[in-house]
Amino acid sequence: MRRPRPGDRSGIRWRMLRRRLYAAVPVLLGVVTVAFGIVHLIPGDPVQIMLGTGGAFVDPEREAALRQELRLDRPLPDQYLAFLAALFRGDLGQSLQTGEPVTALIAEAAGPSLALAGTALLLGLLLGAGGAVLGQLTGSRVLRAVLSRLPVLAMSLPAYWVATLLLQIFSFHLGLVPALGSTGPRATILPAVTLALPLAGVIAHVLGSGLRTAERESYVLMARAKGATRTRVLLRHMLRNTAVPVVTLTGTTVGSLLGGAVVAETIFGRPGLGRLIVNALQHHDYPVLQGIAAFLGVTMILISLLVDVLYTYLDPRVVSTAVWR
Amino acid sequence: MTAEPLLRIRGLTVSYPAAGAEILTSVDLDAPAGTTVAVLGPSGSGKSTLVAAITGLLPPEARTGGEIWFDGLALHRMDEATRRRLRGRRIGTIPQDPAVALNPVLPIGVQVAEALLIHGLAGRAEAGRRAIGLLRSAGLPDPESVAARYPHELSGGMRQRALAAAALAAEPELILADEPTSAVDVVAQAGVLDDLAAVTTGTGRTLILVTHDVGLAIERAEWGVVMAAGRTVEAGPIRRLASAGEHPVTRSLMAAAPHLRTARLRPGSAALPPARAQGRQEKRGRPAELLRLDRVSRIYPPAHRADEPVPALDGVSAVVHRGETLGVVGESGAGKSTLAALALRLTTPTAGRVLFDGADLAGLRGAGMRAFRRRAQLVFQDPYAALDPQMRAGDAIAEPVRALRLTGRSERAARVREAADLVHLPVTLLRRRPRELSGGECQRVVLARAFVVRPDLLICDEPASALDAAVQAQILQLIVDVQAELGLGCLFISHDLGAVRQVADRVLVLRHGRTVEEGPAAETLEKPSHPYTVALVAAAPGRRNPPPPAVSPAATVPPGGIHP
Repeated sequence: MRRPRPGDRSGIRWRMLRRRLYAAVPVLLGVVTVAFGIVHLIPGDPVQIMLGTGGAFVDPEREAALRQELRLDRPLPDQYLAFLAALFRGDLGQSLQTGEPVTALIAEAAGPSLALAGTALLLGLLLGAGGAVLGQLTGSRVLRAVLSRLPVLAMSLPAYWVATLLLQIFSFHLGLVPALGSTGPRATILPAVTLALPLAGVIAHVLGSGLRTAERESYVLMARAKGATRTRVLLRHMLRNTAVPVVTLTGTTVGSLLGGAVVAETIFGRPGLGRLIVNALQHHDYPVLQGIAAFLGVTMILISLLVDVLYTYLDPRVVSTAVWR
Repeated sequence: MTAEPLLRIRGLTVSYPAAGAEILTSVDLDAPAGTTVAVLGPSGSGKSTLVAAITGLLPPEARTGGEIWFDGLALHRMDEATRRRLRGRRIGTIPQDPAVALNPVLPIGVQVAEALLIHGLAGRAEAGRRAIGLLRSAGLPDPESVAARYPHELSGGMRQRALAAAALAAEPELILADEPTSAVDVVAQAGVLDDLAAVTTGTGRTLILVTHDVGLAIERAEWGVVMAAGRTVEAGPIRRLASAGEHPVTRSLMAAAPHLRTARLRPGSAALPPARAQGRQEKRGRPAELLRLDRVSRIYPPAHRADEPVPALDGVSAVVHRGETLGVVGESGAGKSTLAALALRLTTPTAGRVLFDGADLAGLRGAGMRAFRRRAQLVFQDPYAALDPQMRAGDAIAEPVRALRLTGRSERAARVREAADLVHLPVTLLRRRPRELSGGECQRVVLARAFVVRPDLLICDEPASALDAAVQAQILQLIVDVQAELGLGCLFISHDLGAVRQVADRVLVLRHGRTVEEGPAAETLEKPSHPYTVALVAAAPGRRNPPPPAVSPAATVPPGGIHP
């Protein structure tokens, strides 16, 4: 067998990825089990709740039909296995409201959500990392002080307030972008900024404090002792060492951007997963909720896999410890 | 010193007005071109601050005064951009701890080549080639492979050499080495220093060697500067300082230097009334066997799957009796720490047996295991790392008593005081946290934590190596005293042969996981028979030192020290 060249890490990386994939299987099962459990965790009879409000009259025939459709008339293990089997075929059931397949609903809503989350993520990274790097490099004390305090402010701004403010200024006052809807990239700008601001704050906060700590590290002093400029030390030495927590943080945030953009989607009148969740909750549309929970769970697993792979590019130590643990 | 020195410092001060701290109050130093100047002093005397002041890498909040002249240039008046161009190009720095001074996420070759790129001395490809040559001349085998590796894939000694290669890449005239070898073993230390000596002697380069290791300074430097509490107190030819130093700090530094010729420390010299210690000695008679390692091997999986597995230990046998100290010496990678881990059953042997008081450690479960955890205690090298920074000293000492549920609450306090007493730790310090204690005080806390459960076996892994010579001497004395008082068996692991000579009754020499030699400490270290032990002893600093004035008179020792 070929002895791996030092520095050639792709073999080890693939082995690690394979192990992580195996490890993801039980997590995946856990996630779909929880999603399955949603219907059974509703206090009272889920069919009653889904069909009516409170103790109002319910058509017994409809009730029986729904019970059968949701397989609630069968023993729990049967239900569970049937749910898994359907899931395996990519069948998440039908919406109680419209009768459309849940997968179609999710696919429809995921598009705008992904576009929004992606744009917000990119903006947040640019603003956050840019702010932290600028704060570190600037010679101006005032700018440094401002940039080190701004992140906390950005994190604490409530989304509904930012969204309303942005709408007031850029749509109603200046008329630069449409206020509502999801048509075209221009309509994505304002909601993306709304979501990006707190994200940028968190990233700038974590990266900034990481960089301020790294400044005193021995390897940074050594680099400066070689004659490196501050810019070189920051870009070449400090940034990659500080990036790991930022990547972790970004990974966990993406999940919440996908499913949690309720406020932004509501205010800007955008379709998306957040809206779909709110709508399904209001109408007790449990198959849809089940489907979204499973979808977001799987997405989170994929993101954390991606984050794990990113680690191995950022920090060579990750690979060597991962192989023998 | 008639010619203008390459580096001249006059009245240098460094202070932190915000913290109200004056680190350097008055430092004068002359480093003639082409010489090696040792800067000596106890920790906290400002040695590292001096180095940072010369390179101009003090924290921004520091205020400096006085003059620093380098080759006719006034560094103290120079702007940052000009000064930066000197760093790495004309003034090279080798920092203290190789474990943290290399960037963990960049390959070694890139870090070695960096100074060449920064100062425009070579293009990217050329710098990479030169880096491999630099690594080779720094004494690293297979430099092509080393250049592609990351810091965590190298041993401490290799990292230190890589750092030296990085610092010397642009061939600076002045080299500042801040404790360059305190973190590596004697053999690597000798190698690194030989390499440094090779680039300084005959090339007209100047080396400022900052160290608390007097033996090393005497061996390597022509001039010495002694610092204490932020000022230079004495300067001159190093040999004159060693034999006829006038300042009390100089004299105490020189006297405390551990020495291969110093005999084993006697218990009772400080801690106990002699009568008590003697009583122990008489009672002892034929000491019972406490720990036996019976042809133990330990194989770790290789770093790369295709490599052969490397045995960290390969068929090593050793015995520790009650009241006796077995010193374990060897280079890093010799298997010393694996031996300790096996003796404590922190890991299990892949072959062979470890017997404690006659019982095989592999068979211990439940209560037997808990009893063993009480009876065998461990002391590490770095006392700050071994203590929870949030925990007060008294709580740290009480922790094993609590964890092992040995006594009730009221008796626990008494046990803690008793243990503190044993290590001469004032009761007032028990309320402090580690960062409020000195290194020596911290190591006393660690020792008290080991002694509080009244163990039978003490395993010390480099217990004094991170400490100043003077404090080191106190800690070693303490270990010897308490050992006699409690009748402990002791496994003392160190790369410092001087320290081992002072505490060990017998010595086990390891190399690449195998026993090289074993025997009484005095004989083995003074008349080593195996060639490897001879080399190890030869590499130890202090071998060629003039004897410390306070310990033994010069007349009894042949010039040139001990020869095998």
